[in-house]
Amino acid sequence: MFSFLRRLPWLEVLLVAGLMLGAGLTSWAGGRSTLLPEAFKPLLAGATSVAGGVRGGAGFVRDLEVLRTENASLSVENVRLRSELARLADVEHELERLRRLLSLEGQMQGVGRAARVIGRSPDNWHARVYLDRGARDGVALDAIVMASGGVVGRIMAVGPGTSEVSLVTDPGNQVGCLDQRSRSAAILVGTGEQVLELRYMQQQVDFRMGDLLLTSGYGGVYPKGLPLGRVARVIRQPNAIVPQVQVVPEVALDEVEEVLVLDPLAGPL
Amino acid sequence: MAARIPPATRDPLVREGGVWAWMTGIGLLVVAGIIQSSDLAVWGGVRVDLTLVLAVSWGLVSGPRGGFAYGVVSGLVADLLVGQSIMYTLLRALLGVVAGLARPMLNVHQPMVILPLLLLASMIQDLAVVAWLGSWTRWAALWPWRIAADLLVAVPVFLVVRRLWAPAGNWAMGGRRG
Repeated sequence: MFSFLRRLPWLEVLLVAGLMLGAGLTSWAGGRSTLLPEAFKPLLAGATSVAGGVRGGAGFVRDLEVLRTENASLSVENVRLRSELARLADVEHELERLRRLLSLEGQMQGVGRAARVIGRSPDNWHARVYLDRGARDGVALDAIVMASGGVVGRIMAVGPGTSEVSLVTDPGNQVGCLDQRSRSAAILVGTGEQVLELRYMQQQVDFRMGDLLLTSGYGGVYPKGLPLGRVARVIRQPNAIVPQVQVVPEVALDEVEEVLVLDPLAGPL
Repeated sequence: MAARIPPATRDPLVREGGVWAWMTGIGLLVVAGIIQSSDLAVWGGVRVDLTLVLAVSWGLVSGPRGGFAYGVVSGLVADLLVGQSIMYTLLRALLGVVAGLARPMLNVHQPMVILPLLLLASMIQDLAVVAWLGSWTRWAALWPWRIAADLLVAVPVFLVVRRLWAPAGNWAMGGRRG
């Protein structure tokens, strides 16, 4: 029954096992890098660019590149302005509640850098994207990535010229969050779908449809006050202790093309 | 008296499963991985798993040993792109061996034989990955379309792999003849 085992080339098997072990150790040790996207960055960027062209149904026009660059810089400016707006709204809310103002300037180390999305996770189950900026450009592990409207995710692997972002919707991705209106706290968990779920909340939480959720800053990875998403559905089961809350990200993550990579926090807040 | 071997099969570059076939096959995997990471591989909201289709096709034409080795390379490409441990490497190695073991039972000269095998492989891989990630809701919504997308490209990819495996058209590979 297992005669095929005798025919296996054991030298090759050992070689392959060594490769697999190496890959596993590299991943486990936290020295995560973007080996393949790095090696084929131009191809990856080219394929993504071609896909964008096909999707838009437009031919290549020279002026388009100028417009794209201009659009990219405007998008980045828009990201900055929107996040600033959200921050000010949060600060205003805190002032109204006579709480001490906590400036986001103290939490963010510098401003950040613009990057372009050049690829996405090759399977249907993970929610990750590749950026055309890496360690050479100052991108660091665990840096927060934003786009127009709110948080996109965080850097989970960095190569010299590319980096990989785990989106907030990536299965297992968890972000501490606060309801801007009620200040109820919970953990926003990625499910692999476009809708996120709130978990680990207290019994007396107050989440309502349309509420804006902001990063709580508790974990020391995400700065406080960045927009994450809006409550889309609150389901109260008769026998459940806490409601089931579904959240839609503020950013259309499937369509995001340009992002802003913030500098990672120096330490826990 | 032993049958005379046709000259084409003696050339290490063009014989069945020769060096050229392996080099091109691995190159194809990398190109497939790059395409898969771009939006070119997204059809109707689902991403076609080209590297899986290649691994199953290769296993079917090359047997369990070739299927195992090619499956591992295919899995490494997927793991390096996803950035997720060695899950795909292990799964693809297994699926490559399974496809290879099916070779003597199937008529590899009939391209449609890839379809049931790929259906099985897609189901096994997706169930394993989804069980690991706990994304059952997404799987329930996506799996018919995902597998349909894979099946759509299966026959052309299999024909390419079969031609690559035996470039001179000398079908000495195993399996029942049509």
